[in-house]
Amino acid sequence: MVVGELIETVDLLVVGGGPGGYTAALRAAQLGRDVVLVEEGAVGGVCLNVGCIPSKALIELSRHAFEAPGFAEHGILLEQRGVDLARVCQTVEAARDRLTGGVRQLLAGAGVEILEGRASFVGPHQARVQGPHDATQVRFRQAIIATGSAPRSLSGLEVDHEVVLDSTDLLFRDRPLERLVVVGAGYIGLELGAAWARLGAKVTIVEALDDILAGSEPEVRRHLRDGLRRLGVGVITRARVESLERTQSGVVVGIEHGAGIDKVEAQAVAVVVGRVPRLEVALGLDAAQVGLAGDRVAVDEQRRTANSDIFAIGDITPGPMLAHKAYLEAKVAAEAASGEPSAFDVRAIPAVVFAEPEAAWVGLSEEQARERYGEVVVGRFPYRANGRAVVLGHTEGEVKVVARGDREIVGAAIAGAEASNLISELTLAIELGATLEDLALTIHPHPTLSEMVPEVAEVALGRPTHIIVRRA
Amino acid sequence: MEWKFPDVGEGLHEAQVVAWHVHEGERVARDEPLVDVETDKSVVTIPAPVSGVVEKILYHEGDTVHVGEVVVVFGDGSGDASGPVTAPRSAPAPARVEAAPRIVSPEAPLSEPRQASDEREVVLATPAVRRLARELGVDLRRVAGSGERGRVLADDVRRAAGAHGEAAEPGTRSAFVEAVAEPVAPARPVASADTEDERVPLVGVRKRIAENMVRSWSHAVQVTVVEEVVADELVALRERINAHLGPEERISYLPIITKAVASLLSRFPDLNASLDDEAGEIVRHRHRNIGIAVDDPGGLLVPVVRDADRLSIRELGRELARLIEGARAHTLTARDLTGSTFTITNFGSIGGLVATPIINHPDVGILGVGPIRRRPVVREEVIVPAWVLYVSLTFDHRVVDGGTASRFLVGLGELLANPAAFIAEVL
Repeated sequence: MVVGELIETVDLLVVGGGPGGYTAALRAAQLGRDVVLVEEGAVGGVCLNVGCIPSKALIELSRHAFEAPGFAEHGILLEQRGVDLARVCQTVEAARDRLTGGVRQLLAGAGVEILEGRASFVGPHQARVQGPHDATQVRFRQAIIATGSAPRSLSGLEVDHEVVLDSTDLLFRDRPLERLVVVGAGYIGLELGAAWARLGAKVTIVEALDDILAGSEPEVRRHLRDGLRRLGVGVITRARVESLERTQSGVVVGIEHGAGIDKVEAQAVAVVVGRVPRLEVALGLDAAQVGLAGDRVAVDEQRRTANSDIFAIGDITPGPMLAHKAYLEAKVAAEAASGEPSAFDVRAIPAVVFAEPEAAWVGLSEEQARERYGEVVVGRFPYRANGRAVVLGHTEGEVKVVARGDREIVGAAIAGAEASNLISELTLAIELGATLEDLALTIHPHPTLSEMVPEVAEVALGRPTHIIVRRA
Repeated sequence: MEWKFPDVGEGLHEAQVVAWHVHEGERVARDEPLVDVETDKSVVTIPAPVSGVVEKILYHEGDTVHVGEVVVVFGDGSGDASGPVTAPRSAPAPARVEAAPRIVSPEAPLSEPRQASDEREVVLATPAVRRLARELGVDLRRVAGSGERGRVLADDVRRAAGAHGEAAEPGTRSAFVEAVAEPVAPARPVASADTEDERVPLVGVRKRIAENMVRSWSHAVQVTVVEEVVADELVALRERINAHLGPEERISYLPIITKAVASLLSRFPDLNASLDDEAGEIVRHRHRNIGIAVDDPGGLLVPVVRDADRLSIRELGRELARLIEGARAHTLTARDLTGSTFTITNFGSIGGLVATPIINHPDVGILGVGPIRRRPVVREEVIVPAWVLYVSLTFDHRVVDGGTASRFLVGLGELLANPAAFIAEVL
């Protein structure tokens, strides 16, 4: 990179190297574009560095740790027991490094130039990139903004990384936690709370709303509450942190709820109360002539902003803040910018929670479907009636499917082992406009958890094989 | 409730009623077949938009209905002693209940079936079909889905794209017939009103053929030139090719002739052309897309081998087999049926020594291929038996003159008579 404020001309500028940004850069490069990707930190974004990927590594290890003591009961004897958190932390870091390294290789292979620094737009076709040592002026033909999101902060609970932690602190901690208070019962709070509970911490989750995981199906919430209870996690809803006293061994957290104030002693309190799109003033959206809709960037179906040469994707556009949404938006934006008739017209975006147990849902909830279509057909199938689930020892959970009166599938929810993998078939069913019969008549391999999909469709159709339906 | 004929997309404004699946007074459940209508390209079965009793049918077999006209009147069955409307067959009850929110009052007429039967905010189509629609510039909401529950299939989108594309052109090229292969009863004077005569409405593909014939006849100045080809070597060539290809891929003469024509056209750009009457320009086509007249009881169709000059004989054999089977099974898409730049009609496969086919408007030329038969020929002053083939070229004299046409036909005869010339030309 040249030194000083020389102006560089760029065909396509991608701002942000997370799942949205790097995917957009790769697709655009495939389409023959010259791409420069600006990233101020590590390529891979929150997802690969401090989000989805490391958290899954930690969650998986915590599961093994939690299940290991039970192995002896089934005849598997282990010599050593216990958890070496330093090694756990190394494993999590290794997973992160391997995947971010892979993304770097992909970008290099595609000929994408990575420009280290922070981008601010100074005009509709111009941006300034402040690097660690120098600044570059970039004149671009088109740009894709993918700056992602950052954790929402809570006043009075400012993160100090010592006793008030953020999610990253919980991911890369190489020392045990005996008592942990988690503020926020969204998916991050549930996932990390459950993971640390499995690693031996006594966890209390505090949520301001009526229930955990607001917006999910009641069945999902019930199974998650049961699962957390099995892990010994305490959940206090309609509550908020009222006070925080630092002590020698950690903190005393005052939790206010309907019945009064509980004082909970803990080593640390983690604040995971959602995420906010990263659209700081310094990004220069005004100068770029990019408009907002609420707290997100206003985009059309092609993810084009008010400035027709600038696109926006990922957590900064309307919709759920999920990496897999950003992946598709990225391809759409890169293709649209390159003149292809692509559009983000998906019917459903699945959501997954790697808590206890896993949960996933897609499309409409039963209630939403009733509001929209009047009469709906619903099926539920319990994990305990599935052979593979019994063998795995994961009989907690259920699969639920919601269809319109004409049997077209419009929604599904799963709580239980491998829910995150099982939901994809139901997502495809919604995208294809498949019916309950389509699922019921498709052969699924035996013995697998996936057999629950045709089974739940048969329940909805009133002719299940492996459960008994009470006749009215 | 009155049901009006819907805008079924494809740029169509009218259709012919072919057959009713119900009679007046009968009950029909929503989504059960109601009526078959024939458009320019296909017969479409329209399902019942609601469940109910068919009180009145206003258009009968053979009638032409236009978009927006009331075709059938449904009753709610209230006059029927059997009480509330129930589906006679297995139509799920919720499907009907579901329709309720959109209908403001139960008496309010449902103006269009798509609205009535469609509470979905989005058209039923897979992601790939949605993408195809964007690529072809087709608004999915305006496409009548031929799949179950109104599902829009890829072919529906292609058809819609084809229909729009054609509408922009002065003449369409899809359905074409030449007189020889399709025996048409001579028109009788209408005056002979013999009550024993059968009167068949001129509908659908037949009507389209008639229109195209008139268009071709009234525009192009058509002249035919005929040449004799001694085909001994062609017969031997085909046998050797087939011995090489094996039983699965055996070819007729058509792939060889198509290859020869497509290659030779490179030297006759005015024959691989069309005349744009309005612009007053001869359009010389870059691609050599060869239309092939296919005889079918439902009416002759002309599927098109795209870029035939670029295909090997083996590939042509496969493609022709696909197109001919598809034409007979009515499974071809608009793309398969449009865009010819030159046409071949192989009337010889049925019979007839020589023919003067009608040009597939707006092409400039059509080649007629007769049967290959044992005939006497004079060789070195001796009459000997030989395989003989007659080929004819009908051309638009507005665009090319007889000399060009004869040179083309003589050149083609040489390619077919002499494999060495064929190889020199096509490779």
